[in-house]
Amino acid sequence: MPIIILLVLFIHFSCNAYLVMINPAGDAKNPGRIIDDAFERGITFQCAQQIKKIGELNNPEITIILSRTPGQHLEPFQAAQFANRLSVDLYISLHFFHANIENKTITIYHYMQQSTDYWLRPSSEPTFVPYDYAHVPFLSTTNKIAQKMKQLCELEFSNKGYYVNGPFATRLKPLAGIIEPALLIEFGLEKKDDWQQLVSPLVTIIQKMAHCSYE
Amino acid sequence: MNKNLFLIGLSLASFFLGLLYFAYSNHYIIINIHRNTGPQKIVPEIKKKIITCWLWQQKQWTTETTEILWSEADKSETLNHIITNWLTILTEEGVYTKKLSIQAISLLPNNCDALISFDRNPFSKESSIFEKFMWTEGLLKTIRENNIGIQSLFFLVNHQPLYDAHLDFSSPWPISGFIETDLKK
Repeated sequence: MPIIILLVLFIHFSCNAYLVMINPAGDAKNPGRIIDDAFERGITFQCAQQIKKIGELNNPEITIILSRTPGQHLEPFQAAQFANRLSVDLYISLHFFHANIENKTITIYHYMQQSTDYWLRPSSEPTFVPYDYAHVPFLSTTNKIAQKMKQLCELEFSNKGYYVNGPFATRLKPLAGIIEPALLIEFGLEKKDDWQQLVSPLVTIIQKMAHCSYE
Repeated sequence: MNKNLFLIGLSLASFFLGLLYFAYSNHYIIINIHRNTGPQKIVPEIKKKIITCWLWQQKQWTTETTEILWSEADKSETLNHIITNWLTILTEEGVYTKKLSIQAISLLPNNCDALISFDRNPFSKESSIFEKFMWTEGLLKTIRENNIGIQSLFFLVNHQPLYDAHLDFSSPWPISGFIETDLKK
């Protein structure tokens, strides 16, 4: 009997969990950019792992999944397929680059194929949709989430010397083919260990995003 | 008497007319009569024109003006001059330090879509997505604001589609860009 209750509770919370997928930049074949003497793929993975660990510990209603494991090579659109199958609530592609102290920026992006994408109406019938128009059903919601993300980033990161840019909508490969709301966030790091300062604010941001409604 | 004089005058006139006709028919004399041969052939007009180049610098758009040779008939040549001058200004302002040149520019048959082939990848591997995005937007904005009549651009490197790890150049980019057009419902 207790096992059944636990199982029901587990299913209940799983169904109501805010599901976030984090895609750390790079993979086994693509090391990414160099920050100090480290590769982007290693730093983004460490950061994503820490966000997952702290985020899930403090917020049981949030489930964070990483799109890859260390040493794994992702095929094109593999992460997108993964996110679409799981119907994630939010997809974040995490990217770092080396920046000078005056160039420490955070830039937020979401996917758009053409500036007229907002005029498109998804078909109600089963239809084959090109990968570069997969984002259309949730485009308005994604835009609202991106605006909210910018506000929260300005709140959390301005005291750390970061300037927040965006959100911009353009043709980004890491976000192509994802149906659910997907953002790409790029951080400028002065040193390779600066990612540790980002974990706590990002967990706070994800927590706040989970409690927002975008309808 | 009068009759004789008349006859002599007539004979002399006939003789000289016949001589003139003989000389004209044997091309000893050439008579050139100016004729109107139809509509004049239009020579493409090339003129000097001042253009505005847009570049993202110090967190804002800045402009620089320069003079180019503008050809109304040959859009690809005009586009070549615009982009070459834009790249020169970027280098002079220190915004862009890579040595980049245009390999070829051509227009599709619709005369609205252009293919630009550079001699190397315009982006460095360590550049941020923002730098690459604003470089592209600056180029699109410069072409758009100078009203050359191009609707989209294919970006190529050595005649192959430009490859970048973050931005997708596999299809043509609209000349309207992605920043200033706000077509939300």
